[in-house]
Amino acid sequence: MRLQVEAISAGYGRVRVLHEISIAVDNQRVGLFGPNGHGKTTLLRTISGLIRPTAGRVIFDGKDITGRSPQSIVGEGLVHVPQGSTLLPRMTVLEALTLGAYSRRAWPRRRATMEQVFSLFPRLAERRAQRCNTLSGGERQMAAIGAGLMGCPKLLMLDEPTLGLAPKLRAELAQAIHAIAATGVGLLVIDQDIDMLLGLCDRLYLIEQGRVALDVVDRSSIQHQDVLKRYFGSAA
Amino acid sequence: MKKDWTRIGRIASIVVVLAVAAVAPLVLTGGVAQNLAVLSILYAVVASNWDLTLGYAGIFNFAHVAFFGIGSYVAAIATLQFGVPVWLDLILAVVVVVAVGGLVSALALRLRGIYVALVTFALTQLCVALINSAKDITGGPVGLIGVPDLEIRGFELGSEPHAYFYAAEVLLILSTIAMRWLATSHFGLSLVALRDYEAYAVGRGIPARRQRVLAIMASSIPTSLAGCLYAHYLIVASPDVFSFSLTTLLLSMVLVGGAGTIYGPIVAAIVLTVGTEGLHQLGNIRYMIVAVLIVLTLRFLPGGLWSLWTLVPAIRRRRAARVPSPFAEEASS
Amino acid sequence: MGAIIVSGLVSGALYALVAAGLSLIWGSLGVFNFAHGVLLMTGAYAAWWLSSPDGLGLGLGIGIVGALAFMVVLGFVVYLLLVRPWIGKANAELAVIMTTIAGSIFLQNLILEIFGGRYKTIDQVVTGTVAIGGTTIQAQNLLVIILAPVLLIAMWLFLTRNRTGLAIRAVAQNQDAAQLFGIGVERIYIATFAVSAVLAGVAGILLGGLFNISPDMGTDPLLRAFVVVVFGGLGSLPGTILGAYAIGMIEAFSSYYIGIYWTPVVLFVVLIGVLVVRPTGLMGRPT
Repeated sequence: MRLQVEAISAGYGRVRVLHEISIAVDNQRVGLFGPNGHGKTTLLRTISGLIRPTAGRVIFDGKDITGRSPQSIVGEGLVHVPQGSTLLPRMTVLEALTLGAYSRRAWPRRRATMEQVFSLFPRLAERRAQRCNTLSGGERQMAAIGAGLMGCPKLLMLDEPTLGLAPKLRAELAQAIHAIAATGVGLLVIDQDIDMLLGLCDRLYLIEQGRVALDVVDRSSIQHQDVLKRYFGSAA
Repeated sequence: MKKDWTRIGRIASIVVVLAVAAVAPLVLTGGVAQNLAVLSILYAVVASNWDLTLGYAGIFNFAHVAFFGIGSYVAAIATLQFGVPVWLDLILAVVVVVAVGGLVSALALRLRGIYVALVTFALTQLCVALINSAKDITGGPVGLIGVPDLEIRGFELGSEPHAYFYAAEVLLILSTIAMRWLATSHFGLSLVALRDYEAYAVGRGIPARRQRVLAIMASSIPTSLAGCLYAHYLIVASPDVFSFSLTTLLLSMVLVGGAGTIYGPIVAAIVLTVGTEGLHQLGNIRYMIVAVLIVLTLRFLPGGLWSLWTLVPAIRRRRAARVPSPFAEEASS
Repeated sequence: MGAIIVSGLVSGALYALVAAGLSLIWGSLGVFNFAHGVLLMTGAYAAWWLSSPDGLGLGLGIGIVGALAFMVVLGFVVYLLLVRPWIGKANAELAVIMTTIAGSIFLQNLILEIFGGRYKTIDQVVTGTVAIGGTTIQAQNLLVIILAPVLLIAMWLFLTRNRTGLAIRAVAQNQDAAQLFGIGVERIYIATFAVSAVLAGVAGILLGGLFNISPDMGTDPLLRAFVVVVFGGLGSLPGTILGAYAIGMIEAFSSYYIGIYWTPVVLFVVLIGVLVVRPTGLMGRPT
């Protein structure tokens, strides 16, 4: 599984957000961090096909997926779990998870996949008949990630999976994400929790102003303090 | 220099319009031509006033035809059934229509757009239902025949061949002046602000519902008067005036003329009335053509025919500073 | 009393079928299909032309199946010509109201040209009368009363168990998320229109068996559906269906006690009353 983002420029209307940015995910776990509003989410949305780039290419497993529809990109095994809480408010957990397996690739396997998702997130199993908008924040995140897994991804892109959660829940989710990575699924994760990213990812990109400001290939070579210094201008 | 030209141009066009208006009734003799002229002018009043609420203010108002129809029925019922003096029914019609329009729109505009369309549409159908149920007063599906001639200070309009023509023209000119004044006033600008940037306008303190209700009430005044004239001129008030077909025809005038331009629908009204009457022998196919026209206009010329003025560079520069219609591409933001 | 209730149930059933179609399109596409009434009428005419000896004379069975197949195609055409070009634009709601008004005038006059204005009749699916609980009702009425809930339940199952049905709901709730699940939004739009058109066609065929068919037969049901969706709330399918039966019942009682001519007035007053008290309808959502 290989994702190459080559010199992508993209934005919204006349506002350019990404400026010839390049990253790569080579059968590993990659983290994206950096200040808000600097293009991390836009990057994921461009990769998954919600936004058409104005320049550059996205290559997944050797195939050029630039400008293809989100539908076909999901079909290739590239799944994007977007930021924010409730994806499908008035659907039950069961229905939302079932929809996660919508693609032709994943649909036949949905029963087996759902068992896996339930064993990963037992709380979802308990609440499977509940509507998504009655779930707690942490449970909604679990449901969103679970639905992403239902698509049998080769690469799973998570946008701020632990956003707004209490520390205990964050740890719980981090553990689940580790478990997901352990099954061989590639990961591209955006998060504010640098500790989690450092613990999880083999490679980290700091994104600033729609460009890669820092490319941390060797995780051991960097300390949390260094990142904070760079990020906030002073060590915590 | 440029400033002089636009002023000259504007004065010149006003002079031309007034000259045509004065001369046309004398030139267009013959019952058919006169008839078409009066009808098209009355429709022009209705269409341009509809444009004020639908196009200019962007309100999902589908009760406008009802204003026209209620105006005609009040004129007919008041004079025929209640012996009201024939000039008084004009005032009565305006009062009734403004009251009904104000009430229904005040209630309907509490909701969002689509519901406003449904409720106002339902009002129009309600009128038909009422007419059919109160048969004794309204004459039922057949309508009322024998509406007396419009009489002003003892002068019966029917006695003079061009009187209704001039009356209609006067109504159109007054209505257009009123609308132009409204559109360029603070009130008019607030309507456009509400249409295009509602959250911002409301945040700046513009009372959305009140402005829109007032706009509907204002537009209903000339419309109800047109309805009165219509009833007196045709000597008949019939429920056909509330029909889907007439609504579609008027809608086509607003759209083909140019939604939000006020002048466009006037021109379109004249062209389309003459056109549909001229194609009389095609019968139902006429309405199919009108329907196709509506879709084609919305698809390929959303600003209507009036937007063709922008092909003239001088006018394009002037209009760039003015307010775009709700369907022209620039309006979406 | 029995007859009134039957009448209310029949009306309610038909309005539920019609309004459900409108609600589905509103939910997924965010537009309102004014041509829905005309779809109802076209379904009836299609069934008539296929089945009647004055048409192709292929019998009622083929007439119904053929008509419903035709509705799928017609739904697609309406979507393609009158809706698709404006989806996503800022003024989509208003524009589609106008294009579908135009479309309904076009179709109505087309049918008028082809078939003329005189009433036609479709054979009833079931004939005769049935005695239930002291009341005699037409068998076709009973069919409608039973069939509509069956169809509505089938639709509910479709929307909660079927892959496409779930996708229709997903697109209605969150289009971005739906796309990220791999749902092709345009395909869902077409599917929604197809389902909606078929529901309208069924209503038309049932209605045609009870009363005559004419080019303007869709106008009254459509207007009632307007009242229903405002009453029950456009965003909510359960609210729409409840509203439909409520309106059907009110109409039946009002027709009996106040008379058929004053009933539209009653309904309008009810509508205004509901709006004064609950501006979003019985169960409607604010957005």
